[in-house]
Amino acid sequence: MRIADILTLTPAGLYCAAGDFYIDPVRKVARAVITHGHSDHARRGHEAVLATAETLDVMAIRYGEKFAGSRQAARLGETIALGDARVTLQPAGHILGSAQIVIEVSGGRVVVSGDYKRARDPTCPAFEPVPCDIFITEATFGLPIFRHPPAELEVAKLLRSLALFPERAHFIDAYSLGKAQRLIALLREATYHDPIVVDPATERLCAVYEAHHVALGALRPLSGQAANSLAGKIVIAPPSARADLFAEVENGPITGFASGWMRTRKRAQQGGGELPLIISDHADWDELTATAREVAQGELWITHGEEAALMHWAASNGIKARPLAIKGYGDEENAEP
Amino acid sequence: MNRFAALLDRLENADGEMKQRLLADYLATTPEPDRTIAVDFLAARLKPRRIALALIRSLADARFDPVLYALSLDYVDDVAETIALLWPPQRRANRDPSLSEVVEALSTLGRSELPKRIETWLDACDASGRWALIKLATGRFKSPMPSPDRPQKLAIAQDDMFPTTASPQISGSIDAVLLYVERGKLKASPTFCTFGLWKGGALVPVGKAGILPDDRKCVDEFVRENTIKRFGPVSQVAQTLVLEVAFEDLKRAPRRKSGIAMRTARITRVLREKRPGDASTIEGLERLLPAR
Repeated sequence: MRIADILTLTPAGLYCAAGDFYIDPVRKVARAVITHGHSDHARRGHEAVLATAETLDVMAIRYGEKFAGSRQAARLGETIALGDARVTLQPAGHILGSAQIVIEVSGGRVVVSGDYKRARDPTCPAFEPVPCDIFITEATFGLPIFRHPPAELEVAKLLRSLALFPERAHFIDAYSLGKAQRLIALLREATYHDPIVVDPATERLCAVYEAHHVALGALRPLSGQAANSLAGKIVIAPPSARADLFAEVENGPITGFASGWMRTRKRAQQGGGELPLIISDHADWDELTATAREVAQGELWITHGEEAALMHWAASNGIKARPLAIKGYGDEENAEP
Repeated sequence: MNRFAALLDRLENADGEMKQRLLADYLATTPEPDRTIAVDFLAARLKPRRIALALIRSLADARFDPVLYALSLDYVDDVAETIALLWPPQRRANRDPSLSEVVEALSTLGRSELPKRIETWLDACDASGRWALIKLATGRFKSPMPSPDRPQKLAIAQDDMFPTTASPQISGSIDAVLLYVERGKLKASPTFCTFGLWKGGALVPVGKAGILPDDRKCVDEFVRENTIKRFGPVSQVAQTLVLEVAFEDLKRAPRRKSGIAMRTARITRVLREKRPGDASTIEGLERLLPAR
């Protein structure tokens, strides 16, 4: 079998014929290997699902226990035989439980990164580079203008604002799976130990993190809180949660959106509130290109995102690249704030 | 510069009362003479000798891949910000310059020394600092503070360091073909349309204009059915929809493919009955420019 035929692109997503499984399929399939729990990658209703225990737990919390016919947990680094394919999950550094899928078929090796990042994240193990014949990368932030600053500096910005405006709640919109927990963990590292108020969806997912030994400190549910009691507190919740709460209050909240999209002024002004924070769980341009150089020994395939610039970069650097333009990925991070 | 830029970032997104407190905090932690200079900048009292944006573009051209620059500019839609974000970080750069160093150097350094100095500063600043530096040095800085009541001029020098070709404002309208469409992040954000005119048998982009949600139904419908390729939020569409575009300012811009910069453009009508061949040419637009 040619290495380029180990995975084929079908309407349901990337398919491995040798192992008869799909990776992050966007339609219901018989056998799915899932990179991570974000809803654009982990969908309900597959007959059999293979993923890390953390990802399976996330899916169960979001979709209910019957999210798939059957499930199999894979440990990171453990190799599992699926038909004629050998499948190994390796850390992707994106969120808790996120994994790259390493597929080996008759001497050829393909790695599907899923979403990934190289920046430090206290809530999940670091991305593990695996040299391969074909590296299948995301490109959410695949333009050279996207160079994420250290998340620690953005967290310091939040804490400085809290010190300067102690009478106002700080409402941060941070995606409920991954971003919220990373932000909380970084706040704890910065020696912020006050209770952090979270909306119900975030709270449920924080419990999954705690169950997998990621300590997040004291959390308080947002439901039942009066606006006045939130003064000087950090609240992690979507914008919809604050609309009614502060309708009649003198000191409204300071709002912020934690996202890599906050890098450009236009986006920050459109959706960043008073405190846009450039914090992303995706690789930035430097990480995308450095990783491609490091691991892609044959070809670079690009699943979704800003692929035009990355295609051009690959061509200028003698790396053979191919855009896959998989429909249905990227919706979660790109959702309206 | 980085600290002042961080203040600007926060002021840009703050409400009135927040602005006062952010500024007070900055002033309390900033030594003279930067403190006075910062206030003068925010009060629009200080206008240092300006350098041309073209000079900074030429510094950038030497460092950037032109295709990556073009794709980035298309996304960011602002030359100063694109350069600020693209500028590669230097591991062993000097510390970033203080506001007073920048203002002093702009007024004292000669034409031959200045580009090198600006390059050193760009290396030393972070992304926000580079943005603020480019905006201040090219006279494009708009204060995020409400204008104070003392219009006292503290201008160090008013004249341009490098003469630009000043031209009177030209307004008019033209029929152009829709090339790219960029949807805003929010439902209420405008949709940005890039349009082009004919030049030697091909359509060349000449400008960009926003349409607000109320007026864009027709364009949205067209984009849904005619998208050829997507680059993130940008859709490339079939070159078949003709738009009537009004503009308030036209200038020669030799570095652009079209040779012309169109400012304050807006889409006044969607001309569904017209065919792309009916759209104007670059030569037609050039005739609206004053003679050199």
